[in-house]
Amino acid sequence: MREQWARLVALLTGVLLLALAATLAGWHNRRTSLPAAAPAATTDQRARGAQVYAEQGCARCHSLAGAGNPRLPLDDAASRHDKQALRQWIIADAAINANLSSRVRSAKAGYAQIPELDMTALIAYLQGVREPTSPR
Amino acid sequence: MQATLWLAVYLSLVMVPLVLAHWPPQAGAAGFGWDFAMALGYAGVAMMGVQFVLTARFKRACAPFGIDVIYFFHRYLALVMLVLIALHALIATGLDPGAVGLLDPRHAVPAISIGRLALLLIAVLLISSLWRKRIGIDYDRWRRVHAVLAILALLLAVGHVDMAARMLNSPGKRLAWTLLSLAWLGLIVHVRLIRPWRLRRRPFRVRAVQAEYGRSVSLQLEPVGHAGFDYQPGQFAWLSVGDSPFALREHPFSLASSPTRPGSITFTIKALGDFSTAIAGCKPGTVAYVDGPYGAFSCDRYPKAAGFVFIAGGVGIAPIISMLRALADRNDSRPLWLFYGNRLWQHTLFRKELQTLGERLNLHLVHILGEPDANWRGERGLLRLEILLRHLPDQRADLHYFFCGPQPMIGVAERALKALAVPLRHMHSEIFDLA
Repeated sequence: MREQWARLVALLTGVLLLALAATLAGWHNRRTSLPAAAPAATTDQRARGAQVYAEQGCARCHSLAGAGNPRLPLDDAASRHDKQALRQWIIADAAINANLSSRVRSAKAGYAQIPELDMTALIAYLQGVREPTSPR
Repeated sequence: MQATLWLAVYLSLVMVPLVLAHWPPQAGAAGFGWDFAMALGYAGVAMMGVQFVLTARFKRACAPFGIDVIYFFHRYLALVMLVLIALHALIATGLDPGAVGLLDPRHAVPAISIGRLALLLIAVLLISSLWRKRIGIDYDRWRRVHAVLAILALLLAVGHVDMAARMLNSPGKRLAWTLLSLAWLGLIVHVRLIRPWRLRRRPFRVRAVQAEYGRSVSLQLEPVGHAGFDYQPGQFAWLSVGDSPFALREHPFSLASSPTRPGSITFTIKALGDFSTAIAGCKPGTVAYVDGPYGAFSCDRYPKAAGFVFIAGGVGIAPIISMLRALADRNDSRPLWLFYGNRLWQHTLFRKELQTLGERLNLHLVHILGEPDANWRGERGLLRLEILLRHLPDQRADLHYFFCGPQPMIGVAERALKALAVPLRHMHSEIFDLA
């Protein structure tokens, strides 16, 4: 009897934690879909770029304006790279091989499949967020 | 009430790290799936920490439940924990194989490899615990390996979070997480070093080793230089004989003696494994250490009960004889029943003393023999509903029932009493096999 209670409480703990994790993840993502709604001045293209940025999960490794993974901020990427270079960095083009570890290259390999329109939008978006106020 | 409080403490211990990692909700979500996987990771580490709390034998926190069931819970929770952590790893790998990297540690990010190693260790811990007997691992060795692997797994997991977690990017969170990790480490130090050190200062000495029926011995211990400890009849303690308390060679046994006869304590132990066999051969004067008392299996917790029914199998009589001795010494006049199952009459522990106790107490003694002699006139076979019905009174809902013995016997007793409309809160069992 008591073992059954122990089993039940353990199982409920698991369910509770799963639910809590899902709630937190859901809440987290709802709050932060706001940055995707870019400033009023943005063109449709930039808005689409923000969507692509979110869809591709760029924030897992990168941050913009302090949002996302702070290790690799992209805030000034557009001031350092032109369109062509940005594209090379996004898809880990062979031309910039020396700058990236094999792990990062494999992580980025899939981005070469991004449709051209979306890629252009993404680059436009990255160029549009130039020089924000970064907390870091 | 107490139980609710401790359950709440447990739940907050499990949940706080998860909430902590997500509070305040920051911008920069990485998609539901990814964030869900990361949250599961935090939940997994929190559960690992809680596993150490559960086995730290905090007397007050364990008392409402009985520590035996806490160990059972520890086991089930480990299974749930493994599932959550495996989900964490699987979802993350599925969503972003690139970020997670290859299985080969030479080509993966160290943080991820460390996490993988922690997961592997947890799986090894679980397999070696659930199937210890099947694999044939000796209890003492298992305990040592278990402690070392568990500590290593926790350290690796904490390291993995520290290195990989991007949610801990504010100094406040990092500090909170570090404090939490330090608390878990402190707990390990408490359990492995401080507690044994305290036990060492309160040694016992073997006063007598007496052979009993049924390949069992009674080991009588006296405290050396201190007054021993108070206990309730039916409780148990972790016993180590001849070894330092730091050696992790301690085993849980029921106290068969009664607190009404202070000055010494007695364990009655059946020679089932290496340790219990070795005890039979130990000499008077040998130093012993006793960590106790633990357990909620005691008639003293129900002073208002109209009477008690004890159901014992084999050496499961040990905590029950403790209660019977205490009740007799207190001249308790309430009605008592003892259903005592054994295979053979020759193996029936305490059969003479039970006879004597029967004369001092209002005790209905029912022996049940699996393989009785031809001239046996008592109950035969295994415990079953008819036997209980034959001997129990019609007014049986006010009685409290205590079972201690092999798991199948406890199951039969519980089902039978349920069928007899005995309320669940009147049934008390001791889980025998903690290892």
